[in-house]
Amino acid sequence: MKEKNYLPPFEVMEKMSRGEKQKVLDEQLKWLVAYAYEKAPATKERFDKAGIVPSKVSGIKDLENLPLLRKDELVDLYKANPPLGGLVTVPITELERVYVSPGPIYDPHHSSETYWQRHVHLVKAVGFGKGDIVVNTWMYNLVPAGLMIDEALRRAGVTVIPTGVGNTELQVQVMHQLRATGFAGATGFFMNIISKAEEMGFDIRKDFNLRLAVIGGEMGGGPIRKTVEEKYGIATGDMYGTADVGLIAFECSAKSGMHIAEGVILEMISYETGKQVEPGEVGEIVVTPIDETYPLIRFGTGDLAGLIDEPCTCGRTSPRITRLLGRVGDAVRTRGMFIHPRQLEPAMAKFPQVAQYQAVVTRPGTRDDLTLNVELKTEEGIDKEKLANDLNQMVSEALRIKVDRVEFVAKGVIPEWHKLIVDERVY
Amino acid sequence: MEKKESRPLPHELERMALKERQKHLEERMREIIDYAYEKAPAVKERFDKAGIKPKDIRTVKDLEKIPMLRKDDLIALQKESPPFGGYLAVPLDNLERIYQSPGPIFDPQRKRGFGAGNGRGTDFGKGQIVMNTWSYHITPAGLGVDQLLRSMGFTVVPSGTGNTELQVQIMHDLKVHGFVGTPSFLKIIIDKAEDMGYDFKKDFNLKWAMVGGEMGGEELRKLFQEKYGILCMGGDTYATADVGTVATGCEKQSGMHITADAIVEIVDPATGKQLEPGEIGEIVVTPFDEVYPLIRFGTGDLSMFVDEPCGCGRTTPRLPKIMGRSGEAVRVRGMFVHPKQTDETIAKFPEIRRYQLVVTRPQNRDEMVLKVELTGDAVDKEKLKSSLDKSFKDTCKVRFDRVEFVAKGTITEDAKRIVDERVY
Repeated sequence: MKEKNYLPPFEVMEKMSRGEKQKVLDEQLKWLVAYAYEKAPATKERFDKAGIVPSKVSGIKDLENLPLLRKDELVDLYKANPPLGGLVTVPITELERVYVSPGPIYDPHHSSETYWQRHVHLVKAVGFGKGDIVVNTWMYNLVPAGLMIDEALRRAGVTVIPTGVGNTELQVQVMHQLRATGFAGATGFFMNIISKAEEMGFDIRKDFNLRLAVIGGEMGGGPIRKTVEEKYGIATGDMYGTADVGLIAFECSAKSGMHIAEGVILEMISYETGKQVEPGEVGEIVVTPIDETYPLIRFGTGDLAGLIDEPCTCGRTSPRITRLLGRVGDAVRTRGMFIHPRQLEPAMAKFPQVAQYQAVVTRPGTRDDLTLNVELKTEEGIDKEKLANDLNQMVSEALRIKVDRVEFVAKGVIPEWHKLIVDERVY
Repeated sequence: MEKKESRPLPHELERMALKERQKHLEERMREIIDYAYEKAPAVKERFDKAGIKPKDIRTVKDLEKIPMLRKDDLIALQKESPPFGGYLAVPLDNLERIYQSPGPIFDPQRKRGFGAGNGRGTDFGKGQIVMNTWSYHITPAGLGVDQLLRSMGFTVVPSGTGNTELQVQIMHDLKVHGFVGTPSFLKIIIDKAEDMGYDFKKDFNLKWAMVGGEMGGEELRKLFQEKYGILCMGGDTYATADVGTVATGCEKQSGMHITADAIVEIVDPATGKQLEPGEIGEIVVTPFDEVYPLIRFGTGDLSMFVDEPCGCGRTTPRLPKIMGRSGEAVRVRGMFVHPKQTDETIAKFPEIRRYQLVVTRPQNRDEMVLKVELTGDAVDKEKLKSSLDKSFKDTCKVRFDRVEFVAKGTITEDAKRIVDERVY
């Protein structure tokens, strides 16, 4: 086997021109593909099936015809080839740890240096470093999240308080007494802790030393972040990753989307066409991290985001993605077209008089029927007929299929937590 | 503190002749005391208050001059000067992690780990998968054991507590070799596996368990070994969140060998004076810990030294087991008597319904009276007295003066089992 190619430090990589970086990553990929083909039987099988010869792969563009490796397939692979699905390049007993994700998927603890280089670079880029005391509330038991972030932070020089989830009151006390400067965890849980602290009589600005909250794991955290920053004076940051590939994107201080981490090859793939989307369009986040322990080549995360391709003011040249816009699985194929909540949302945002809405797909006969249920904030002074027409036109355009009817429903018909598009078809 | 190249390794220390080891341990003790006095302000304060200097402490015996540090003192000190009460000997931002234990008390992450690994090499666990069911959150148990197991070459599944059914599945799917956690949780997992229709001995690959952290694990350990063929590796391990590992069992399962990277004393909790082997007292630990040098930390746990040679080849003294908490014990004629011991004695006599041990001091001599309520009347009291006397002496190492049979109902259900009525 050929020696692994030299990978420049990520501080250098992040400022490289696109073309230059592409060259470096393609070289890395060439090596990784050959390595994974030899060491991970499941990778060999994928390549053989797709008729792709590793030695002929000179870059990511040569993998266009390699079908994505999806999360659901991982579960099947792990079942079929225990214990590691044929996906890991070392025997199980060479691993430092084995994690357990729902499935069960037995995620390996990554030992590849590139993996840790990426993670350390990423937590530093998001704003953590030496002198910080960070409460890490991601779960340490079973799943990789807590221990992975713990190790990345410690390698970046941070002192970690491994609190895990739960014990809200204790979290408040620990955060207060140890004068924690940072928080890592889910947005909702962070807000629980903040409310609990206020309930206990603390003044967050005065009694706490929190400087940076890196909160994520949930969609639509925008307004909460604003509150955290403006009301409590705590900066927020964002990181994105999955149990399988680790952290792969982060928000920089410019806060205009999330940068793809160095050492990760990104493709944004249209769930409709299977092709790479153009900047500004929405696609599925597909990644190939340079990681020789667990080389998941063309891993389809199932998460949707928009691709941003303008240079960032922070000086990093990496492509960026928007906040997550949904799951590929949320798309409902209706009359041959995929319709997705993220198409519906911007259209509906233009109607401030609407309190809640939900699109319902049924199949009364042999045709898919699309109804838009709408709950109004108030019915006073509203021309319902005109509004229904406007809604129908706007939404039909956004979804690219005709809405059959708009129905105004009473408060409570649409539950508070609901999917924006429900599929009620029975075949 | 600089490490000298020629210094013996832990496993060498554990097998040395007593005198030779003592020489090495005392050398390291003097170093840690010098270091702590210089780096940890609270240590200096404790020394200054007692009017002693590091140079006054040359031998283990000299440690008696240093007032013990109790858990409660540490909690109070941490409150006064958070987070570590003046015991942290490195800058705060050098710490990789900070834990919190009930108290509440903060614990810094240290290099000294937890568990049975002392003196075992980095390849010891190569090729074996271990489930670590200590919780990884907040307290140091899970992460401390994790670190230790990985350093010994094991592959660790950080499974934590709970999720019994999933634990069964993991243990089965990954052909897990070893289990670390409490004996009762292992029992729950085995029971669950059997409920799910598995034949534990046949369908699982569990070869060994390192179980501890609970009183009364002996019976379960016996069950694991005899019924399921699971070797209870090292028997018990004794560690605390504050000082880490203190003692670990060996393959001979004849108690727990004290660690070679700390000075362990057994002392009279009232006076802090060291006791002889065979005498029960409080376990006091001075870990060779450059991060958090808790000099003479009183664990509050009771045990004693057994210094007969062990078949495993280690020459370090052993703690047979933890015999209770120092607060509940009463010292009678120089020996501690703990409710755990008296319970153990009385449990052998089904004809006894309830009991209470009363200690008085009539003429400058401790007197012990065992009050006994019988289940029925058909009992040979003289015979019972003499068997009680023998059994009590065997377990408690001290004899009671007499037995008093009292009427049913005299001793209430919630009465203290040992009452100290001495007036000095």
